Amino acid sequence: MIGEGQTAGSVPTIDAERWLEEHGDCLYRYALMRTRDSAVAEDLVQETFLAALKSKDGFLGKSGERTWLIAILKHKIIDHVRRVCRERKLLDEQSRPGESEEQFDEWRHWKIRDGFGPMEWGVDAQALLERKDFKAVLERCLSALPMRTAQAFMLREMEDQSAEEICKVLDITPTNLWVMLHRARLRLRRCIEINWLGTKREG
Amino acid sequence: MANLSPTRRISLWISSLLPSCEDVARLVSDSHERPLGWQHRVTVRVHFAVCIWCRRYARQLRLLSEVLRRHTPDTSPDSPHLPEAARERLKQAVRGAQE
Repeated sequence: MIGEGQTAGSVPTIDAERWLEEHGDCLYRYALMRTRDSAVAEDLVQETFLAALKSKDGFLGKSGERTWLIAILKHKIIDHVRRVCRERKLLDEQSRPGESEEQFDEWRHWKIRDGFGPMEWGVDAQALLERKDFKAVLERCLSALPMRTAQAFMLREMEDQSAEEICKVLDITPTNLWVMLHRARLRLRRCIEINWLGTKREG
Repeated sequence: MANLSPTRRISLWISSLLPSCEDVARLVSDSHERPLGWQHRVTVRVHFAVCIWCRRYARQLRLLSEVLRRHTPDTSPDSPHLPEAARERLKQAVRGAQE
């Protein structure tokens, strides 16, 4: 255990290396999920540690350490997404018609007979969060969304950014954003139902 | 809108009260983003009264919203780890920054 770093006049080196041990993987996963690029995720984690070292005043004590580091990482990720969008590197994938629309028939009602109608899940948020297998499915389903759609959706639902801010970051109009979020929700819900509920019922 | 005949307007109004599930799914999603106008709120209510699938859809979106807000990265052993080389590079960078 490297607990000595916490004593008065703590040596910063020990702190940063302990951060790396304790939070490195977590921050890396967090960044990887949102950027889908391991090299970028590594760089963002590094930038986060360097920024954290510079601003140790904002530090809230050991218990809030991870939250604090993740808050810094969030800013780094948003900066990264903004940069990528500005350079037009994040291409808007042509959403293939039929990707989310395939869930509806010619009358634009759920294709119930083909099993596309939402099933009864019978769980609450707490129960879902406590299940490890659900987390893995959720992350897999998020990574199956088109990149730009996923960015919009994660900024909105996970980072709780305002629509205005997301539109600025992704360089899109509010209407674009609403359509993207609608598609993301349709596809994510469906993906979770097949992959999580489906396996659970069979098992 | 101004050039529409009264009959056309009425039929548009009626069809707005009989929306498809796809329309309602879009409205349900939009309601997470902005307050819906009263016409849309009525549309959704009326549709919910007859459509269990859209009711479930709305409930599941709320559930997912809550789950995502509270989500922390998966920590199971087979989830990705910071690669060793990157870890080493990071250590050097952090040390460098402190000198």
